[in-house]
Amino acid sequence: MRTLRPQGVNIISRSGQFIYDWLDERYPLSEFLNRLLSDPVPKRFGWLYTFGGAIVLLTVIQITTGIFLLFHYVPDWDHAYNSIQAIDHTIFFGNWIRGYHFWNGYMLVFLVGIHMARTYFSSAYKRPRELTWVVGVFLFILMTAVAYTGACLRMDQTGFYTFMVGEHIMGWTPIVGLWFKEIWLGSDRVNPASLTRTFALHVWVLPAALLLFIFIHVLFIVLQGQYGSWLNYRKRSREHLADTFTMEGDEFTSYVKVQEEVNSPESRKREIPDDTDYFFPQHSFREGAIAFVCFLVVILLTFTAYPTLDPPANAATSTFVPLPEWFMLPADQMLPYLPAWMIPLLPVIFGVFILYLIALPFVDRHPSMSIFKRPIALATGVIVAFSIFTLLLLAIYRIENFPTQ
Amino acid sequence: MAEKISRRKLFIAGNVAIQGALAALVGIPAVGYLIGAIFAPQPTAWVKVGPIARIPLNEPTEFAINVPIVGSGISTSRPVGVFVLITGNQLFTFYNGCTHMGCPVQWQAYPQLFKCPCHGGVYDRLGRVIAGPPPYALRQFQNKIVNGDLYVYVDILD
Repeated sequence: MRTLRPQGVNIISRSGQFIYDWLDERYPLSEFLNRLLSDPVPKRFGWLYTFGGAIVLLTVIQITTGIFLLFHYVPDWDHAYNSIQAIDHTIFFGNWIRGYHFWNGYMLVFLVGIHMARTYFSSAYKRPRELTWVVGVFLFILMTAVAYTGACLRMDQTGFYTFMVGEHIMGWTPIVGLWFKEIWLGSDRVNPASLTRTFALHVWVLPAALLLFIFIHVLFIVLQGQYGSWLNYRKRSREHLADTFTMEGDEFTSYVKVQEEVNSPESRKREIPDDTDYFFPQHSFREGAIAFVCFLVVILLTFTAYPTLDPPANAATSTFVPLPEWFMLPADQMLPYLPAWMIPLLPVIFGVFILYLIALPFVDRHPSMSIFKRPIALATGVIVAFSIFTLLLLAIYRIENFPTQ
Repeated sequence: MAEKISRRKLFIAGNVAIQGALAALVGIPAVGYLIGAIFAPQPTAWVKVGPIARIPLNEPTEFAINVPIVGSGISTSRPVGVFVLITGNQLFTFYNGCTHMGCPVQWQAYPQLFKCPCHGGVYDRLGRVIAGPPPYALRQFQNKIVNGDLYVYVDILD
């Protein structure tokens, strides 16, 4: 009989204890749970470290509602729109399920943005956690792609022009663009095969890749333990500084902890922030609470704002103003500023941005974890965030002011 | 043979060979399955716009035509907008997709311009780029008149 008992796990009932012991005798359950659930998590500013968990929980909701939509959605050129109308209007609880899927998807994109910003400004991408960040960048791309392809499936006006603009941007990409475009659409123009292909991407290819990368992302976190950035450490007095007098306060503490962690991976459990909670139940409660609040917003939006469904796809329109998805607005706003000969630059800007994100942990090797001790990283982050918000506001201004007859 | 291959190395090579063969046997047709569709041409056709006598003169007028498209074994059609302009003795039939990102351009009678609602492309009444990011003029379909009906030949789209 194993004597190891996960510290976070308390089994109350006797039958539960019996089942637990029965399993524990046969499988390394206690060790597994110890690793998974009883990981020490920084207590100070713990609420800032909940967005990843919330994303996992909302992704589960997203996949569940998506599977339910599959029971009624028809991925056919002539019937997709009708099936969505049926989901919205005639199918029992159909508007709930589609509303959840629609708004929860937007909420996920929003949370991914917050999660990335938090990771950036708390320097969690630094050695030894470079690969967690790189996998996170792939997850960012996949999440955006899933949200983008989802809009195409509606086959309404916005969905059709989501196809159209995406196809054009892809086609303008230097060298590989036309190939990618035709492989995506299955032809040189939007046709019935484009819908089934986008459907395959949206319901299988991208979510399967997403789940795989989420698994790897979480596995890395479980294997390496929680980070504990400068926020999580209390100020210490000078006697802790030992012989390193060039550094002070948070910076020194963080530096020593990173060094010890890097030099001896076994010290993972000892070198943790001053005050810790267990992942389960304390931190998982925080994550659940954040996910719950986010989902309450989703429910509120579902019942107050009708999920988008424009008139059916019709390119012979003289009044329709195509609008991109809101998370594409900052990228979309760059287009009016790029003159004709610079259009192929847009996909290049995307590519450079992604390469910058991937290279970030390998370029930024400064050991300090406090964002205020790293002026270049702080300036870059603020400039990128400011540009995105400015472009967003400009896009809203441009759309509001287009002269319609 | 100069050097003896160990049993272990032989098995490792066997593993790699078998898994690689499986991956190739599935992967090659799968890649072809995805790429093959792009070599299947879309149908081209003369599509009827309407009787030429009903089309107003000297003002681009939008008509909806249904263009045949084929994909995944489904033959269906797609609505496409055509701007017809009859001016002097000339007949223009413009495809309404902006050459920038494919958005539907709108004819605005007051400034006598085509304007794209997406990214600010502006064309004059003959489809030439005046302002904004479009790289070239509005594309034109070939046209013909048979028994008083205007037809356009749809070979380019998107």
